Amino acid sequence: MRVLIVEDEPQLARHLATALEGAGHQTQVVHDGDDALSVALGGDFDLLLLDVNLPRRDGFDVLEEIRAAHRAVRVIMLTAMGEVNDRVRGLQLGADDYLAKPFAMAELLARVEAVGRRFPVEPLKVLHVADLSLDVETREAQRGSRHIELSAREFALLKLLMREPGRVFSRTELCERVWEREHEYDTKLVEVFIGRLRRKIDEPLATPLIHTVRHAGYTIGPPP
Amino acid sequence: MTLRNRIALYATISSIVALAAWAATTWVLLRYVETRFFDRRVRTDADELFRDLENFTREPRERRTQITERFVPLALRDRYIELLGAAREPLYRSPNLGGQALSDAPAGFSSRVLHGRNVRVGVFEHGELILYVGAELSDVERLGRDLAIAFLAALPVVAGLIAFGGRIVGLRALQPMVEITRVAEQITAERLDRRLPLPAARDELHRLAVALNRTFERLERSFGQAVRFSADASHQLKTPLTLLRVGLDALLRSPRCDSAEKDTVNELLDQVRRLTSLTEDLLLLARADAGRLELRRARCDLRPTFDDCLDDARTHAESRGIVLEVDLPPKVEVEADGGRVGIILQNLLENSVKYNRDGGRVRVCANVSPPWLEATVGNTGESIPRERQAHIFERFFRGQSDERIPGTGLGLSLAQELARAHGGDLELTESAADWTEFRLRLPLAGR
Repeated sequence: MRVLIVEDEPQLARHLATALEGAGHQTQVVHDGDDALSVALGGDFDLLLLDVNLPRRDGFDVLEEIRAAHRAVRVIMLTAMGEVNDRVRGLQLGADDYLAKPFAMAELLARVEAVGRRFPVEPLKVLHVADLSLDVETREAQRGSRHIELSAREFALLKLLMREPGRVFSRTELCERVWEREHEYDTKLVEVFIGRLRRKIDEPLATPLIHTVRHAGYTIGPPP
Repeated sequence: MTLRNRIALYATISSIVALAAWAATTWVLLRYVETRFFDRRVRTDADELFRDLENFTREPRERRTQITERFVPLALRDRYIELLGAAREPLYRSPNLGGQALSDAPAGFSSRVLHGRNVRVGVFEHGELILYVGAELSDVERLGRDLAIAFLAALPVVAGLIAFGGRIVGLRALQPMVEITRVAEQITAERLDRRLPLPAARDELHRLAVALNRTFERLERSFGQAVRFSADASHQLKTPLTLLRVGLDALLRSPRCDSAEKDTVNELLDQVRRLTSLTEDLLLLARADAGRLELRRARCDLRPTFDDCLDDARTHAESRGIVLEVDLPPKVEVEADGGRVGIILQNLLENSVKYNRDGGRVRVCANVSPPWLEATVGNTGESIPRERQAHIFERFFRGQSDERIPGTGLGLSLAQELARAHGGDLELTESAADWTEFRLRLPLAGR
């Protein structure tokens, strides 16, 4: 995909460009709202990564102009976290998604992939990893023929892992995405909940599905 | 009573007092003048009588028999008259005296009562003769009475007019005040840029308006700074945090980074997360101070939020042998911003485990007590000394024994602000030897 990165902080823009190029996209970077508008309207981009706080012309303004020009480009807004109004406003103005700063690069790449699909894939109702299945709607988990009870947190954690089997999630990313707010015993929380999931899912069996990747994090998948 | 009515009342009272004093003085003075005037008439009467007497007495020698009623002119027949001779022997007494004597009256003019009537008596000498003339004061008295009635009748009318006038004066004088108040009431956190209208006259109210406007200006400036801080800081702090986050992420994935370094990077990532969270809390507090805490209120069931927070608290409680007692209805419906209430509950439950003793107890209840939902979270922690209780909701306040317990000292402060932004409250209700309890109040969801 051709991605236009609109971000006034040069270092962050560079990181974003590197990561997106690493994932096989073409990128161009601009640092202010006026440039963003002229480049976006002049070029042929599939996706705009648009920061809200920009010099000269803010992100909302750019978005509004682009939508007024009927450009079918997809837009992901980068908002400062906690700014509820920003998110709502961005979506109202026609953004396809938003991402709160600070974000994990893996999360950003996943969002870019999701938004980039011309036909959005219906999110799966039942997730499968080997003989483990998780019904996202009823919150029922089953391993083989055995039924597994999950608490809300355990469910959220398992769902996150099972959406992307094989991807290694760092402890921090798991914390961020399951708990949203920081806890004073954050890292311990992840360990405890991973431990609980293991007891419920893996313990009686010889083939564990949840794996610890040393120094990196956790992943789910069939044993290697 | 309104200030306007008070002004009218005071004006009326003071006017009535002044009017009454004026009426009394006028009455007394008039009465005095009238009496003098009356005295002169009595003297004229006496002079006339003397003249008659002179004419009368020129010829006859025997006065006693000759001085009869005939010597009194018709016009003076209603006067009381007594005439004494040189040896103070009575020469004549008018019949209307009815046998009473006037001759005991002192020299000059005096008042006395004769046959139940007030009478003015004058004593006059002419040669050897002494004449006592008495005249009834009824005319003077009638005048006094009429005057008093007139005054009394006029007083309420005048008082009414003054009260009415006072109200109008009060209304006019206070009109600028009413205007100032009306505008001042409209000046709220959202509309701090408004200013009071300045009265045209450079009077006391003008000064008041100017002084208030200056205050509003200062308020607007500091408020603006607070709001700008919350907006600027969110941008300024989050960009470096994002950079840190992204950079550390990249490092973690880099093949050049060895295992020991990765552990360090993971720890740094945790710190970035802490810093992000702290920034978040500070920004929420800054917004609360600026009166711009955004709440996305909706009818929501807090039971899942309770369960999540309890789930988290349990992970830490179990390792310290702390028992969680939960008494919650299956649905806990409130009118609130679910995410923000989650912050409150997380703080309360985290604290209840953190400040508990090993092997202690935590009790979580929720009761419906219209119009409130009352949730209480109690724990068997050390009691908070009375003098510190007042400070526990202050920012960065940490208990004495808190050095060994991690935390920023922002949690309770933020929780309380969030509860209050919902129209509810968070209070410490009990802190006894082995039981400390907090109560959270939130508005119930409407029917």
